[in-house]
Amino acid sequence: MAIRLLLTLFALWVVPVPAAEATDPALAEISAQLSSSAVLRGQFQQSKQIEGFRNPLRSSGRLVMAREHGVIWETQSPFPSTIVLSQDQLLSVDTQGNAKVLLSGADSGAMGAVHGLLMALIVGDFAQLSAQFAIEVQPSDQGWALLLTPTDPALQQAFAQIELSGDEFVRQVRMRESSGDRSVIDFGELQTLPEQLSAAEAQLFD
Amino acid sequence: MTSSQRQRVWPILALVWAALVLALTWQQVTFWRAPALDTDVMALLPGEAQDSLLATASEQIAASATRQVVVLVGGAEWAQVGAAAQAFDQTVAAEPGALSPQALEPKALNEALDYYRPQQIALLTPQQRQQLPDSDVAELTQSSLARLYAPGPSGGLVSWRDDPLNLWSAWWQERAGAIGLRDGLVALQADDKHWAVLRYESLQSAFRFDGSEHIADLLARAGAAATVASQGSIEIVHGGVPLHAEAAAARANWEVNTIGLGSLAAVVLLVWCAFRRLRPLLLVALSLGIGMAAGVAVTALLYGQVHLLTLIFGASLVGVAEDYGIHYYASRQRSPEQPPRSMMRHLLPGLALALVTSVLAYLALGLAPFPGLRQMAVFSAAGLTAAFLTVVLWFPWLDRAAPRRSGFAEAIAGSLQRWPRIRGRRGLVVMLGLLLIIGGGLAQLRVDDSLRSLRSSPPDLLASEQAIASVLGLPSPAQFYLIQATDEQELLQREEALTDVLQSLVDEGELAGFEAVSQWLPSIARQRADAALRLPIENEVRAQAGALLGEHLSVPVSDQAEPLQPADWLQLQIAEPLRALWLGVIDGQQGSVVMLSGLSRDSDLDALASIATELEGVRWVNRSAEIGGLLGHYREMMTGLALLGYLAVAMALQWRFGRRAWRALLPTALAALLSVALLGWIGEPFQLFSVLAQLLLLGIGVDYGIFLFEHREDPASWLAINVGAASTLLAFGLLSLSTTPALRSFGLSLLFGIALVWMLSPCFRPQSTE
Repeated sequence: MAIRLLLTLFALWVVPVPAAEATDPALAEISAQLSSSAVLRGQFQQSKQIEGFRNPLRSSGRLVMAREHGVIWETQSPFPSTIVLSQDQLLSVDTQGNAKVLLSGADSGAMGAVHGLLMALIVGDFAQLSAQFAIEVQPSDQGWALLLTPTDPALQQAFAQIELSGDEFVRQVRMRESSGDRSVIDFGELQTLPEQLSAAEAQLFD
Repeated sequence: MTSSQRQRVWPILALVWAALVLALTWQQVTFWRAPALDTDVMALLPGEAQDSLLATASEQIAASATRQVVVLVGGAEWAQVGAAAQAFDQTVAAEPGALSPQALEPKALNEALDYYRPQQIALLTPQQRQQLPDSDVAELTQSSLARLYAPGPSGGLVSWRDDPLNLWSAWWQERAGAIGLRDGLVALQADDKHWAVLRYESLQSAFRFDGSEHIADLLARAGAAATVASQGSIEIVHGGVPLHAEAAAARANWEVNTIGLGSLAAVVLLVWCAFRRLRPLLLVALSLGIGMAAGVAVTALLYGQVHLLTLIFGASLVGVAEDYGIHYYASRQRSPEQPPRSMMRHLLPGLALALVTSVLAYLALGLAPFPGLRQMAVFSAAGLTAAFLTVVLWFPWLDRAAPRRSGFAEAIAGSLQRWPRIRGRRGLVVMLGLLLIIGGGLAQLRVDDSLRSLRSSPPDLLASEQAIASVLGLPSPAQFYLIQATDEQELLQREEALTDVLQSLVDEGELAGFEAVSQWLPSIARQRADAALRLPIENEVRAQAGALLGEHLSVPVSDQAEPLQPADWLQLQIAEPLRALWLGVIDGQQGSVVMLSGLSRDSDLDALASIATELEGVRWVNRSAEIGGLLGHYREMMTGLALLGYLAVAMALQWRFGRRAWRALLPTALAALLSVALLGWIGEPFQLFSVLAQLLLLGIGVDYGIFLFEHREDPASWLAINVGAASTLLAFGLLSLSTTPALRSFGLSLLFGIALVWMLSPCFRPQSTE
């Protein structure tokens, strides 16, 4: 049975710990600047450098982050595709609107964790991140910059380091994976209004 | 032998016996310092000596579980559960030498990943194997690309290029099932609850026979600490063989003390009332003590260890072994003027005959090839013999004064004259009444040959284990498949043929799951087939994706890596829980076990059995049913033996007493039928142990009839019968308090039987003038 725990190696395990207060005063200051709205919408640009690929994989699209529900990651270029990370599953929604369950975490609790990490990175939930990462404040010309090194053995399997930077929002996430793959996500046009999900958005979380 | 020679032989024999008793005492002191006590019920049952494959399987399955303790901490919120589980673990860890935590080492996981990685192409889940051939490559490419562009890592356990469809992750996920890791704890969700799984290994090789429950106490303390830490309501359940063993030992300690000391107290009281002197009392107690010690010692010497049930059963021996001492003193009381040694010479033939018949009755229990019954038979025979020798060799030597006459003894002795007789019209009515009771009871009698009768685990522990099984899906140790083949690869292929069928049952919800080595280590044939199924599809996906992205994504066609082999796999740390399933080479054949989980009473075992008949080299084993069948078989056999015993006794009595022999036998026969009928009336099941009780009842009960015949209206004989019967009755009566159903049934049968034969025998006594 012990072997079953290998699940953790690909599940991007994050533990939803009871919010531990950020003890670093610099971190607390950054945390205080961050928006705490219920819904965040914006554009993203992602560039991934993957082993075996000559060129980086660039993509862009829009995202909706709803604290209560999860993340809608809508890639518009180069291929339209939508991924919905919700509390209990990972859905891929094709252009016709047909949802396909990629991973159901109903019986593992794993999906909540994946969703948790992505959300924590996007909104800069340091209390949650500090349970899995050693967080170091970096010097920055404008806004703030953080270096995250995983302390959790399972996460160490997936990530070498993650860099976060931003102002009132997280503006950039840089991930260096243990496999050597790298990716950079830039967020733009971030908006906190309207605070309600539209009917179409809400439907995706159902 | 002249009389002076005889005079010298007595003290020499008495001294030889004293030397033996001294050795016995020393043996007992060493034995009880670290008692070799066996608690495993299976050890009482016949093994599969004739079937070495099944024997190895049973042995390995049992051995893999002997030290495991599992604890589940559950609650509605993970935060509470995690905190509680951590507090639990800390409390256990704070007490070294009891339970060692079985933590999962990241090293073991990495080792497994490194082992499988070169051959990950050869691993598919049954679902993937079924779906891949029919899947649309364009669709697969699309979802593979979506994964490539999704935020976060694109690869799974290997790079995207090596596993573009992320099939290997799903393979691991299938093996992980619902279980994951959280806060460094093994965690899962079931029944709308979060559960943390804690595993321990018991470090105590032997437990003390002092009635304490160390592991259970430690778990209770840890549970209390966990409840405090959780600051809420949590549920804690634990299970494991060590807990059963410990509970059995603690209960056995209580039962042995109750039965042994209880009947000892009764014997002492009876002896005091009858003989009114301290010395008879001490000497009778001494003979009993030596008898019990000899029983333990001889059993330990013959079998290496003593089973707890033997000890409990043996405690009732007190009620039988006291007969010799009481007979001696009853005779001394009657003829105080006769010197002790000549009195003993006079009594010896009768006492020896009584010993021989009792020992034979006990040894008859050992006729069935049940190691447990044989142990009980040996214990009883050795104990009776030692008590007998103590009486014969020491009593005349240590006896200083004849017992006083007592009012109690006179009253009992005199009661025979007033005892009613069953005869005439009134007798007919009584007999009719008895027959009605017998008929009514027999009609309600329920036969139960299940193994449950030998188990007596506390209900809360069983309920706790049931809860663990439903959350974790633990495999059943009593029902499994045995696979046999000429070599390892054929063995794995036969397992796969079986697990393919079982998987369909799992998909239909008929079965919770199964455990087989081939789930983790497919046969080379299956590895090749799966790789051959995957490779062209993955090549196509890589080609299509490469065309869209302008990349060259094909993987170099590597020489097929070495296939995964059992010998290497078994070395892995993660293989440890499954090693018990791999039996190795037995009688020139490779063997393995496939275990099932989620079996319940409603499970269709016949359907599972029929699967095996259609597959080559696969055998269905149902240990519970086999043992039940065996117990039933011997119940019938011993019933036949008991009837033969009645026939033999009837012939012997006929030879001695002629036409009136029925007067000696009928009381026992009636008591036997009535005691069985009473089991029916009170709803106790009839089983092998009830039959064994009947054998013993025949041995003990007929004696009363014989004594009443031989010594017609003799008050001293009647006194000896009464004191003997009362203590026997009490000893078996106390045995009926045992929580082990088999011993309770044995005790109850004898309690009823002895009481009835004691009451009925004088009713059929012959007239003194006859």
